Amino acid sequence: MSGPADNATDAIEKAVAAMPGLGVDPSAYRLVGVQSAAVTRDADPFSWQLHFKLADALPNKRGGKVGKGGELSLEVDLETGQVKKLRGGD
Amino acid sequence: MESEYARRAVSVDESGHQKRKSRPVGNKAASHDDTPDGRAPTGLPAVATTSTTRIHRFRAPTARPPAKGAAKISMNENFAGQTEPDNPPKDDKKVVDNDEGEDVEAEGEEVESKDSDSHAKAGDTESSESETEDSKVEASESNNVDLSGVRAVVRTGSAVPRSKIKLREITPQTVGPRVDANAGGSTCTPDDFTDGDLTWTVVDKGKKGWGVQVTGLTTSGQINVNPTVNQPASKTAPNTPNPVDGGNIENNEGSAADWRKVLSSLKRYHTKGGGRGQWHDTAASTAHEWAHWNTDWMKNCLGATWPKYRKKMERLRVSKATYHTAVAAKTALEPLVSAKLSAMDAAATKRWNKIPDKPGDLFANGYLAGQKVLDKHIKKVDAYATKKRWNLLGKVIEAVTPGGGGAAAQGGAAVAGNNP
Repeated sequence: MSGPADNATDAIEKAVAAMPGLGVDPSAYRLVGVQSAAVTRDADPFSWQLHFKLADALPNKRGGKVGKGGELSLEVDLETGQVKKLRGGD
Repeated sequence: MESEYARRAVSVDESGHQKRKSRPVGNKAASHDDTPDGRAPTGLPAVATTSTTRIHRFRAPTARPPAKGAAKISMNENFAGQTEPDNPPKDDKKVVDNDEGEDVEAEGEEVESKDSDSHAKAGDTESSESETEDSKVEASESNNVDLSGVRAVVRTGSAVPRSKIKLREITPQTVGPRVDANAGGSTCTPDDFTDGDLTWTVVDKGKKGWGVQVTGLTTSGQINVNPTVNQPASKTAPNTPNPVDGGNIENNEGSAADWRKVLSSLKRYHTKGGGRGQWHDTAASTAHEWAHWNTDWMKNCLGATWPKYRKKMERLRVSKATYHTAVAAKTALEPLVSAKLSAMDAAATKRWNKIPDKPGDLFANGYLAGQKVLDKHIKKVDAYATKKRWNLLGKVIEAVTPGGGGAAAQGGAAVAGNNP
């Protein structure tokens, strides 16, 4: 029996593992959003969209300035294991 | 983010409506003086509703990026973002002008009594920016505001007068911002203010004690630009379009360099779900980040907070009975001034974090600026496709042009195999 967040953690692990292959340094980013396509119009239980932001653009204190830009979005297909970079960014 | 912004805007408007009953506010809804042609930026409806007025604080980028060196402090200039409406409606308002043209701050800001001494007490510890403080001021405004310094504007659809007085202001001095043109991601982040960013002196206010004269403010930050690949002769993506013979655009639907894909990529930048695509230009990212700096930070954030806090600083007083010399007074005033600066930083940060930065957002100034750059590429790619008779217009021209004049006649060496 799987836990309620298993798919999400699988998706995150796959995405982070795929980042170097996409020319992205994982250590420079922080995860800021996770969404399953199961709850979108796609109703696709295998696809996850993960949103990252450059760590430098995030404040180091509560209420600090959030830098504009530095976003990175990846889509993970848990069925095929494919990870792709989504369009976006400044 | 989008919905959050919308929600906040509504919330501010609601409370702002309450405030406006007693608070004169700036009106920038009709001000398009900062667009290149003086008209409303594309896609920005020029309506004069309360909410539009509020949202208009986030509008198309205006200023060109300043020289990367320091800009000089200028006294008595109208501060950016404090401009009067260009074409105020004539039929639906009354203007009650005054002789002074003195300071009334922009929307959401405190309006002061002319008698600043009422605020100025020795050791004034009037502290950080807070809703409480605003509420206090607001509550007293209706009774205490000296309207001789106010230009009031009554508009149709608004039951309350709005006011605006131009600020004679000290323009914050930009130092930098620091720019990394070869970064891993494109970002813009203003620095937090520190005491060293503010210059001020102690002034003798006579019987009122020692006061503060602010002489300057510097602001800096970090701009990073992630360059786009630029291979003018390589039909690969990502790339920067180069629609010339021997360039990197072709008429081949299977190719990443197909002119239709290039156009689609460029056009999607400032649309919902868009952003930087396979075809892009470093100049667009650069314009995007500088729009954050010039428009969002300098104009919208500092333009709305700095005048208010400068005045708060200059209302600070310490007693001569307690502090006999200017040096002693300066020491006493330093923490008070510092607290005001911190409060201003918090207020500016709050505004900064609310500014939209998603493709397709109506007032995403960065995307608006970037799209302007990409629009030039779109025009060139379109023109090239026409010249090559790849697009409909080109085909029509070919059909109606005596003697054909098709791609071959245009010297179409770069035309791919499936060229019609």
